[in-house]
Amino acid sequence: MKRMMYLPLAVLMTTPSFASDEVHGDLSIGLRATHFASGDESAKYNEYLDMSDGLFGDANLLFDTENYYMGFSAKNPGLDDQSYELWGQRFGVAKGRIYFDELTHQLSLDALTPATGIGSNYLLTPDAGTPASVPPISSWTPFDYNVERKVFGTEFTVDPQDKPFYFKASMEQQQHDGVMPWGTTNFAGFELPMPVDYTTNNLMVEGGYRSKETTAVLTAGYSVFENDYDLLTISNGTDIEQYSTPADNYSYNFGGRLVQRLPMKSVLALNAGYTRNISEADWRQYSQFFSPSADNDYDGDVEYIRGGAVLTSQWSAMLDTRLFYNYVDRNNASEKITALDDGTTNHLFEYDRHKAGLDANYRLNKANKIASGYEFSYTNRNREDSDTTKDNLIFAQLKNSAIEWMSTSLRLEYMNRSSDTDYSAATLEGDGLIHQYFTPFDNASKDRYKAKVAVDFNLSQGLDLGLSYALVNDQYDATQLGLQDDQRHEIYVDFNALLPAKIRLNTHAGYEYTNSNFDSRRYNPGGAYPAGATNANNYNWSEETTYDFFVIGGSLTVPVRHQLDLVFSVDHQWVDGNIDFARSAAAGAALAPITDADDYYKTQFGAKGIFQATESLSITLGYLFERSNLDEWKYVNYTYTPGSYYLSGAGLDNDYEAHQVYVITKYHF
Amino acid sequence: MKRGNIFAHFVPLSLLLLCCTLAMGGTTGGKESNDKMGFIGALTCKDCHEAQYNSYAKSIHFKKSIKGPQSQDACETCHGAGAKHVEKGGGRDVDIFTFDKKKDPKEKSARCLTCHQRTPGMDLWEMGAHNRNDVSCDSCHELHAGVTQKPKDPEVCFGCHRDIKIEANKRSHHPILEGKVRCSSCHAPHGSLSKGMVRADDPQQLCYKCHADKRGPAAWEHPPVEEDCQSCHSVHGSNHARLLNERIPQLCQNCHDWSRHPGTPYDNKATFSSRWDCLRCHPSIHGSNSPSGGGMRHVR
Repeated sequence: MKRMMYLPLAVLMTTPSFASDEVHGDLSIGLRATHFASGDESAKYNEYLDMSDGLFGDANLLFDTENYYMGFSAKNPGLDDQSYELWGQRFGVAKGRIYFDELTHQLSLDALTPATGIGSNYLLTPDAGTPASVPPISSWTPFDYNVERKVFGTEFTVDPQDKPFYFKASMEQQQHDGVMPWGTTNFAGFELPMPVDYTTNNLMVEGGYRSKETTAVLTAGYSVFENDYDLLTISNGTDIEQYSTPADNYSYNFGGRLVQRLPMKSVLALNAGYTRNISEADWRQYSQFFSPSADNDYDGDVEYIRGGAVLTSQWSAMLDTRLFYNYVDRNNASEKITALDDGTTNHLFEYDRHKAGLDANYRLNKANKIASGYEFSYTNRNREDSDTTKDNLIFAQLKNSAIEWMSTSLRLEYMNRSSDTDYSAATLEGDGLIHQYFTPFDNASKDRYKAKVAVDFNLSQGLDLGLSYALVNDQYDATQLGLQDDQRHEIYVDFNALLPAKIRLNTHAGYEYTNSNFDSRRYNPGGAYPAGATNANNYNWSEETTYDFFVIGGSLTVPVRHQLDLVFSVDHQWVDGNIDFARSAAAGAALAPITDADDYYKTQFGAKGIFQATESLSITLGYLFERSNLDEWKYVNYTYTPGSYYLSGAGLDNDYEAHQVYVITKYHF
Repeated sequence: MKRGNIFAHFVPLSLLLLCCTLAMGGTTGGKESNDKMGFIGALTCKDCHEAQYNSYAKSIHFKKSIKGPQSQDACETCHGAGAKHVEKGGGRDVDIFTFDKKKDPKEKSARCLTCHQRTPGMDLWEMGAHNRNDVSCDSCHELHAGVTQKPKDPEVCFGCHRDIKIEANKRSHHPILEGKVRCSSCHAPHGSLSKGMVRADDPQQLCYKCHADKRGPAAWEHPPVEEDCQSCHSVHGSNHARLLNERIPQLCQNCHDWSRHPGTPYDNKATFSSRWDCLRCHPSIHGSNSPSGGGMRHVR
């Protein structure tokens, strides 16, 4: 309550200033009701917003004076997606805002589990070793996988126009509370609802000096993360399993930049930064202690050191260039441990990356502009499967606006990535021999070709058409086993028109096609060699993955009478995914394709009438239809008890057909 | 440490500070222009451009208390001296500077930067991707309208970034369309030294701002996680669950082959593929803090 004492004081100090000042704003109050065709709502329908039946609305206020403005907005007060913001600015002096924002991330509704203690970090499960002790599904406990996020924050900028200095500060607290899916237990195979009770506090300050030629900025930040449940314990009454969850951690950083304006309209920016992330996992809570640690906890300690420089120059009205270099170095001073249960030693990952480049824009004439550039990147890691990576990238771009009503652009890009590993063939043995043949895709050597063309027509006032096509083609020619190639085609169209009688039409459409090919080897210990024997346990196989994605949508606004607008909207998207497999007949029967890989569609249709009753009062009556369906192989013919495992329905709750009617009254003042 | 102790008083104190700031007296004053040759005054402009004048009069640029156009030479601060334009009987682009679509974007932005170069964050405008790709201030800001001048986010951004608009509408997405994450939450549209103009020196540190549970450092790290979240995630949206670049197990198998199950093809007859994905047994994929060696495989 103490903090509430500030409020009346603040209002008292501000009130005299509001006298005779203008107030603008609007107030909306709505009422909605939703019917679900299946009789059951879906987490996907409510994924981020609270769409529950009943009242909803928002309010926006703005005090606008000669010297300052101050605003307040409230959205959906009382609902799980409510937000409030108070902001203001004194012109030429300072500005700030204070806000609260809430969202509910629905993951799966009506999940089921035979475990008790859901929402806590101690779950009691039946003894799966004695199947008779597991109750029938009909008596499992229903619960929702759902994480609520609340954000409280404030930002301030003191920026006196007639002073060379400014200062900014922001602070934010995020709270996450709920339950999310977290794998399955080892001994019992129960899918786990993991409790989430996180709090993150972020603080950032920035101070700057600016003159006509120079800007100097210093920044500092501090962030603390706390997890109230940093250990998850599962018991079946006899045995105990314990799972680590995100550990408490904190981070601080500071940095600075100097921007100097030079002759020839050049600008030089230099920046440097330091970030240190520190964590502490308390191991004293574990019933079994596997790793030696002097203080019974694990201390993570990683620092990032960064630096960079950018020089932009305007050589003439036609030519400008940019030259840049940046550097990041990740040093890992975390605790080195060797687990007592299996002798495994943790790897303290480090890397450093240097990136440099030059690009130039050249305006050939008023209607044509070309751009070209080169970038080089070098990354060095202490990672055996990806030791160093060198990227060489070149691009060229042409923009043309010779025709008054049309502009076009074409961009071509080529990148060559060259990577090597740190394996010594002499030391590879056993299963590890696969490293001689298999390359992880994320840093594998490859050639990447990119092309993008865009054409925009501005046919007349209020009549626009935009078309774009993009191609990305990755070729992993040096990879023997692993990802071989990856192609992506994207086509997008936008059409917006203001037609006679003030009819407004906005439409968009898109099509994406992706295709990738992957080779791998399935083997039992001793069978890693790709040219080795082929039998039921040792064989090479390949996989082709193809996705088609379509989207089409738009809205049509028709003014029926002077006071009445009808608005129709539609949106439909559709995903068709296929995975084909191939292997030698000597390995066994042909592998069956997955024809429903993330297959999905969503259809939305909306119709509403907006009646402008008076200049300041409008009434909207609307209907919204939405249907969504996911046909993913993992969830087709889903059962909660596949074999000896016990699932909970995590990720299952995707399908729905919803019909919503709503009325909104909006008052402007 | 009890949660929030450090921060308990910050929000109400901020409210107090905000109100005090607004209630302060005095203005910054306006600096008169020294060279008024050819200036005719806003009221003359209004004779022909009443609609534009009226919208300008409602904008922040009209406020006399700031060193903006109104405190100096109103319309002519941005459009230039109007005498010759009037002498020639007016007309589009006739001896007057306009912010037409076809005008050189850099020339248009230069007009705004005359005053706004000092605005915090604008010092990196020249090296930002927007400036270098012919985006000018008026591409996003309505110069005559509104008091706050803030563009609608994400609608304005989607006007050019069609691919991102489509991605943000996919099955798995950050709550951008829902208004809970803004483009400007992650990107600095006025310029930054980072790729993609993100608001951090490298993308991971930006992601940790909201996803601090992934920050670690964990006892058993997963190197791609530490190097680039985008190795596995499409941050704007994806057709695969959890914003992933690819379906699981395909995504994991692109990096992992080993004896037995990691290298096994999971077709539509395999129980692994039909009911389980890798994360069921390896949930600590962002890093494990287990004291057991199982942490290395992100099992615990």
